[in-house]
Amino acid sequence: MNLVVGGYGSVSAAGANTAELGEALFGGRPVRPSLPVTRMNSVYAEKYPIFQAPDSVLAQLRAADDESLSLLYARLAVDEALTMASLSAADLRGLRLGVCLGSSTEASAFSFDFYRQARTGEATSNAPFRRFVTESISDQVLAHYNWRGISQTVTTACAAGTDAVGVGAEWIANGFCDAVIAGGTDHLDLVPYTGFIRLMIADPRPCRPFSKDRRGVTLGEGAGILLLLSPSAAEQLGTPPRGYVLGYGNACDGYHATAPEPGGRGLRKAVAAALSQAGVNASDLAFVNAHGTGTADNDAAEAAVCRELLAGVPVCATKSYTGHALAAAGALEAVISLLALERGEIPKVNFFGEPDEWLMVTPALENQPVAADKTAALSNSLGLGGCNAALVLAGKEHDGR
Amino acid sequence: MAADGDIFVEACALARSGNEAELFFQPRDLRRLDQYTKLSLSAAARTLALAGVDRAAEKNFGLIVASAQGAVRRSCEFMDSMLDDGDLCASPLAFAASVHNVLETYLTLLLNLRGPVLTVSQKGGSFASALITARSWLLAGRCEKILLGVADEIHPLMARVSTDNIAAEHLVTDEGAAFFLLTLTPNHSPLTVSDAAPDWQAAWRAARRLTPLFDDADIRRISADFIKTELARRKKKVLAVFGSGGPEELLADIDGPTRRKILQDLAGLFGGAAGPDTADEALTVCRAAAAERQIFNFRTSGSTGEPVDCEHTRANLREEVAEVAGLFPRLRRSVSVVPAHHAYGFLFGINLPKWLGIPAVAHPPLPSLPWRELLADGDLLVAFPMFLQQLMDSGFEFPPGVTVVTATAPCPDALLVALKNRGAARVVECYGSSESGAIAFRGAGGPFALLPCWRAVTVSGDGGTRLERIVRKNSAMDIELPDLAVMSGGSEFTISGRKDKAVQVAGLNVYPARVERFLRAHELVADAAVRLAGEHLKALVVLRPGADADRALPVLREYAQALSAHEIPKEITVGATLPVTAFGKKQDW
Repeated sequence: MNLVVGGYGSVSAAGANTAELGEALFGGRPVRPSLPVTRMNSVYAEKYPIFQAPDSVLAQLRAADDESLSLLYARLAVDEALTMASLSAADLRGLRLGVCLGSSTEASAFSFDFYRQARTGEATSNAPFRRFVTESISDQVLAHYNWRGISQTVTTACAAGTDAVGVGAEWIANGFCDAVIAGGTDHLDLVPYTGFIRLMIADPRPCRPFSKDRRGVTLGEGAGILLLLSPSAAEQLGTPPRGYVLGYGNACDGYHATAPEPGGRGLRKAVAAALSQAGVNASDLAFVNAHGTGTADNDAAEAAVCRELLAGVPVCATKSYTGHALAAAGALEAVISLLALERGEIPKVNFFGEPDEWLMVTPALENQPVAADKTAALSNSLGLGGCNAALVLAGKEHDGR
Repeated sequence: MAADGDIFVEACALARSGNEAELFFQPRDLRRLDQYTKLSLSAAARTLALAGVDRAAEKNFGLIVASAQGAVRRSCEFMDSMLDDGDLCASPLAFAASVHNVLETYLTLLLNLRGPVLTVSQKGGSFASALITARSWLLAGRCEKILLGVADEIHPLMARVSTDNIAAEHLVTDEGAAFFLLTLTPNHSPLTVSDAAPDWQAAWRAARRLTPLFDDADIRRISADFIKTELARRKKKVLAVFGSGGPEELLADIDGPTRRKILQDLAGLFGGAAGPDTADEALTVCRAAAAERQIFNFRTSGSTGEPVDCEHTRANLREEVAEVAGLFPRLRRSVSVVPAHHAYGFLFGINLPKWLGIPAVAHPPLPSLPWRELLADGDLLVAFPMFLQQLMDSGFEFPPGVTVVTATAPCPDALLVALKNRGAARVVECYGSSESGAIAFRGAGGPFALLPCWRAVTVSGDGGTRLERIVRKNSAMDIELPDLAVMSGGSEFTISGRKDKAVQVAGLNVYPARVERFLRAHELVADAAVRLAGEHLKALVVLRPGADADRALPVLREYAQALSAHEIPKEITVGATLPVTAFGKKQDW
């Protein structure tokens, strides 16, 4: 697989766009999660922080149009990807187009507020439910840009963003599409916020992936979008590559509803499949952008795979900047991986305490340069329920073979 | 290359009741699983079983789950716990079970799948969208085959908020799971999906369309029931009807000619022509014939002569069950005491449960079984009048929520009413025959309503409009009704008795029923049966209480002389009762 990334865009707590995200990751602009969480009417709001989208983003919500935060984040990221590719939405209308997005909150039948009103008969309008049953988030994106094409909303929990990029890339590789808007978008509401806390995998302090004192996730939100093009479509549009998707792997654990298989059984297969499809050896990787949620079990399973399959490959763990953006996480991390490859720099982990001797994996503690001879990176995701996905991405310097 | 190109179905199954999961999994595995998960496990496990896949072996199958709404009940349960119990006590178990990809977890865990997985939630287009990626993954060689499931559940609140401003095509209004084992190998049935939304219904339709008429378990069950019936009919192993033996066991000590004849006839039910010598060979012939011909021959009971095979095509059987399914909403299981090779036993014990995606169990027709424990809410009890009468005679009370369908012989209104009075939620009588399959249905005290697939051919006369024949709208089937039926409006009719069937005596038509009526008219006779025996009629009479057989017979022989020469029974015998089959139909003696 050798798909052109014509552009990419993002929204996250670390930035309203990818340029701002880059300033946080590489420019030293500090990012901290919000506490108290003013958006959540919860007894936990004073205790458990979240990485929430910047106010400048939230202010752009078209509330009068019933727009959801997920759609807002997605369209801002798509706009950015198109701008990066020097394209307009109209430029894609003549192509066989696909939209493949990961989602979780927007894929829920009832938002918490609507459910609370509806179950007591107090809801004055069924608009939120009507929107839910009539249009998926990927269809909403198609409609927003007046595009026609195939669409898919992937809901493999925290792996959805990575899966959506891999699935969309393979649509092009198999000749189904010329261009695919792929990625993930998710927003926080009270349900995942309370759910993660009640599962006792949320950390009251900012998450510290792979750190010995890690206690769990800090939830985040946002979107990561990649404009994927077939080489011929990129040429036709005159869009220079900003990177490549070389490989995608996916495998399940078949182990437990909430805990990953301790040895990383599924992730191991997913990584092997992604590397195999990419035709890349572990030794060719500039870095692995770990899922790195900061939970004890997730980091342990992922560390097992890093130790055994990816020995010597630098690890970065960027949820310490964005929080765990759930279905958007993998796509955000794909964007970060491409950005790091483009800048030739691996971002350090934030909030790290001390290495965990049991993991024997320590993420980059300082920003460090990408080795000159390495143009590919691996981005991992592990989802609740034991779904694992991995992407092999390459920077624009990759020779494109 | 298009995204919607060819993809083929190696096996598929529809489940609309999670109960069937118990057939495939240990109780401990199903503990704490909700209906949504059990539904999916049922359909997925059956699909793999139909494909002959060993679930114990690790395999590189992909799993793609398409769900318009996901685990909506658990999602609401979690929010309920937040609202009712407060954030501090919100249920973590409900949250874990509410994630969109929850089915992946249990399907991969319990089916031992270790390949790629994906969950797609694309509203009313989830199935079609998931198929795109299924094909993409197969083309990329990401996995050998893909188990693709379309699963949804509903929550009562959905109906409340689904007002007129939401088109029906967007709504999921029923619960179920359809699973398909997909491949790019073209020696299986191609999967075509209509554009009609919502596509969860298209998935159900496709699963029904692509499910073979018979699976291996069906063939074994039909075979065993047929062999039992034939052994009983030949007065060999009569009690085997009430046992649970398989074909091999039933025929173990039966002489060669009888065994071969039974097995030959068994193969004939499926349209098989070869002459099997053993039960194993017969099952092989039946499987091959079932796969190739996709027909089934319902065999007449032989109550009025040699049994005759009545061929029914797959198309007719599918049309019949689709219409009958509409009459039986909200069933959870079929519980049948009618042999599966019988027209009604097949319809209600095999075809209907498969169509509805609910489990089917069979029990011997013994009223003495612990039926209170064997029946449960949502069951359809498939039975016949004699069995039901005996059940009523035993003082049986139905548990709540059981529907009863009775067939094989006319059911008196009094029995239908008694069944209702004893707690049956609903009682339905099916009217039909081996030649026609199901024709019409009625409740207690009501007329029969013709199934829509039939067209009534009527004749008007002094006695009103008589239903003479029924013609299948989409086939050449044209059946003369064996009974006197009078139309009572629309497509409804009532049965007033059996038509007289003429037989030939010395070349002349005579009517045994007329002779029966003549004999019944005598003051000494309570009931009578008349049939052709060789070239003459013979009669069996049941005398009224107090009448003496030795004195009555000469009187009746003299009385019969008033009949025409061809009508006079050559023999008149006296019996305690008229002979009937195990299902209460008239039988030769």
